[in-house]
Amino acid sequence: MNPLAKFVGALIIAGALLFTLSPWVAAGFVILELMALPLLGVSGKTLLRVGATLSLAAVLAGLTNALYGNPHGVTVFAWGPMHVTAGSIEVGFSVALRILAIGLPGALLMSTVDPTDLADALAQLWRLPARFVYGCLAAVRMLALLANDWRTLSMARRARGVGSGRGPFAAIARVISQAFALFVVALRRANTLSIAMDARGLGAYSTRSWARTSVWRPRDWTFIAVVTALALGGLVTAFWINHG
Amino acid sequence: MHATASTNRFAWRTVDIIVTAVLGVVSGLIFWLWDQAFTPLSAAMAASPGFVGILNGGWLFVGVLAAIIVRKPGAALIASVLAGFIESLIGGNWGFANIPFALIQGLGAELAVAIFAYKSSRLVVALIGGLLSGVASAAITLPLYYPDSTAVFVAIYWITTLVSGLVLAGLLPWAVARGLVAAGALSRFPVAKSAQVS
Amino acid sequence: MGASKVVSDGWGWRFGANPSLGITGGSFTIAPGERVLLLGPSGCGKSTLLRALAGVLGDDEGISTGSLSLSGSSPSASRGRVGLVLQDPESQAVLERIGDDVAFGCENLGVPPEDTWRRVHAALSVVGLNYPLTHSTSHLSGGEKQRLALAGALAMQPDLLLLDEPTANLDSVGALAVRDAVLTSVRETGATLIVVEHNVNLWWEHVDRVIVMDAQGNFALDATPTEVLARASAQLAAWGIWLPTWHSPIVHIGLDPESRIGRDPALLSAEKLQVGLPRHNALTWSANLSIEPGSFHALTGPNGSGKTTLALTLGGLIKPVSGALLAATELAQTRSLEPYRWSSRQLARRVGNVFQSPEMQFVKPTVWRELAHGAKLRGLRGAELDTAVGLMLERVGLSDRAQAHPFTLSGGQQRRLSVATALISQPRVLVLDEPTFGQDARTWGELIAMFDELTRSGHAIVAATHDERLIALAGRETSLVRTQVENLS
Repeated sequence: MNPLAKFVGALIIAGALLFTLSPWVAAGFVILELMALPLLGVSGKTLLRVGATLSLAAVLAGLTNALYGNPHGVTVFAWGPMHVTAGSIEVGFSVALRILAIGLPGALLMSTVDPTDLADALAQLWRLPARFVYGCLAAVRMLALLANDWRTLSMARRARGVGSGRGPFAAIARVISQAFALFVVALRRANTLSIAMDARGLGAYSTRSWARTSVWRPRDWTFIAVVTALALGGLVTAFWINHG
Repeated sequence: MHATASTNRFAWRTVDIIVTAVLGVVSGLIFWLWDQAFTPLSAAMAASPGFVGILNGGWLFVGVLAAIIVRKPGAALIASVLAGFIESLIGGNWGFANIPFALIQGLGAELAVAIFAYKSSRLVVALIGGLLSGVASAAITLPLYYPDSTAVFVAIYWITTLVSGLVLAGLLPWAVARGLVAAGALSRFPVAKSAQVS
Repeated sequence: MGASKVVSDGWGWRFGANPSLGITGGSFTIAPGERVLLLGPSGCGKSTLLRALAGVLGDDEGISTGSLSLSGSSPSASRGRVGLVLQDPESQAVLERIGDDVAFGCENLGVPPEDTWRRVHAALSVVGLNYPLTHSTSHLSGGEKQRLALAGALAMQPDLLLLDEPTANLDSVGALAVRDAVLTSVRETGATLIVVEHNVNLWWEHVDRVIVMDAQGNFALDATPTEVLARASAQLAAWGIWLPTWHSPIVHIGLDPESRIGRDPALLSAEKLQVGLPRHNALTWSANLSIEPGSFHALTGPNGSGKTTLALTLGGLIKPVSGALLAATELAQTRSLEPYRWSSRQLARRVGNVFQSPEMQFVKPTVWRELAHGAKLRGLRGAELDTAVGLMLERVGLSDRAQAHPFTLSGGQQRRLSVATALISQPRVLVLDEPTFGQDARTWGELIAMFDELTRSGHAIVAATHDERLIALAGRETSLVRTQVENLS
């Protein structure tokens, strides 16, 4: 499937869910998404990793809402500014489920997308300027290098005798200093990369050819149609639950 | 069509594109590392009446940094989107559709430099950028993450987000940019040539 | 396909901000298909000239005088007909898969896809990268990445090929491979070739002309290789330029293998030491090493054999995978004998680590403060500190740059600063990773003299290196090949 289809599909679901606050619809979507996993080729390990991060964000946001949401209905617990009621708990659940419902498809779909394929699609199908698309792609590719540079910087600092200060402020100062060094290293790499890309003729000619063709097939339209239908269905259901 | 022979102040050189993108990628990486290190803190914040807004500035840092260094239209937006993309790539955290969020939050920084016609990297530009980004951030995250909250929560959230924007996305990027100029890392950018980073 | 005639007509360059920083330049004419070796001391502007010829030197970066032309057109109009390969192999790859990366240049030129892939296959085979097209660019060794960059340039079928120190990061096998690939390619296409290289022996027999730039960037000498050797050997040696006739003033550093073995106890001993990076597979060999005071120990081996990993492990920065790495009690002076377990302060005072890239190790905004940081670790304060820092600055020739930001120093100065910052804490052991990388003959000589002095005063030095000239001087050598380790002498 074309990566743009996955990309747009994730956005459509996110867009629709942003307008509903029904925990039932959100829960329904989460279940649907989990069922669609094998179809989209997502591995269990990815699901665990993504699920863990999202769950944490969901739980924390849900908790905050439960504690500080406007009070509705039966009070369960109150202390100072905190006021947990049946109503605020329901809002908490809704928000938590909504975070999962929106976050899951995005994360899972994008984990199966190859960045180069996405870049090709953006440049060929949506005709975004090649310099920007491939410039950004090259920078994203540098991520592994930069992560390695971070590790080297940590070792280098240990070698210089830095890192013996105690306390949280010293720790924060160390991280900031190391982060700054990473920026300097990254900018050096950016400079070299920019010269290299210029030397390979980026932007030199107004017509550019494509070594890899990005194809949009009927199945991509089908996917978008299905996703849109589900999104609309969800909106309608939510409307019906809340007002019917 | 020759990319190097342009006299248009708003035209993007290749180095502008790559540096914008790399600033976005590095910011995304650093923010993720920061997130990992301070997870217990964020968890604690969740239980506070609105102080979680303090963390919002971290997201907004990259937009202002790119805007004041590169000074081309759209730099803040591109860097923000890439930082968001990196966050989701390594952290798996797609939250509420990172990309539209990043775009809206980046607009704050974009507006600030635009007001000054993309000619200035002074502290005041960075501070305004941080503040406006904070406004954008609170305006979209509040109804989406905390849709029906008490007035106290909302007030504290707004205040902490704006302060966080001012400091983490205003003062901090300006300081980093100045440091980078001193380290000779930005020799191809106007911020290094003029004495305007004051 | 064709060859460029390269003409410089009084070309010079000034970096806008600082008027004294510039290239005086001059004139030369290079005929189509000629092969030229471009020499000059570090920092004289060779890289800038190459970038100008490739049309990638921005108007915003400075002001030019005179002109450059490639077969009558300006360099910026010829972008895409000039291939440029830079020094840093890591930062030149654009795309994730090697096939796509090599194809990138062709796409920019508008080459139709079928031709593009044909060129990609041809280019990869000329440089000897026999991996599938989907192989990841991140999973290549440094030498392979450099060959990939070369393939990317060759696929564009340039009229002019410019190489900026293409073999600097490569071991001898890799360097030969690159050289042969370049020569094969220019022989087939007839393209003009300009190479900047410190490793002159590799190219000397194969070039038609040598152009020499002096420290101010003048095109001081322009002659055939034999003429250059005949006329100007001494002059060029004084400028710090490598020549085939060059020989090191010092022929031996550190203890002879035969002498003094067993007299002084080793400062560090490794027994059946197996190393590996965290979260990676361990390297398969195990090493036995004895680092004695006064010894100079070279760790050698092809790219990817684990020299750096071993050096970092000996330096106490990476945990050994298995086996024992122990410090002598007189070195440790603390309960634990394992360098990995020392605190960073303890480590810096016992073992100095100097990384391949000096920029990774700078932590302060001025040269003076960098050194002061190291001196403080020794417990120095106030006037004593000032004296110690002043002396060290003198020793490495950086007194006039004391207030400069370390990142703004030249490559050679940065290297000397990073060695100085390690030395000022007075460690007895010094571990270096590719210390002579990118040095011209003069700065190389200065470093060697420093190492000689250090070993004579009882320090132990370990250097991971592929620099043949340095290896020839080393008193001890440990060679790492994939499955075995040999201690040579």
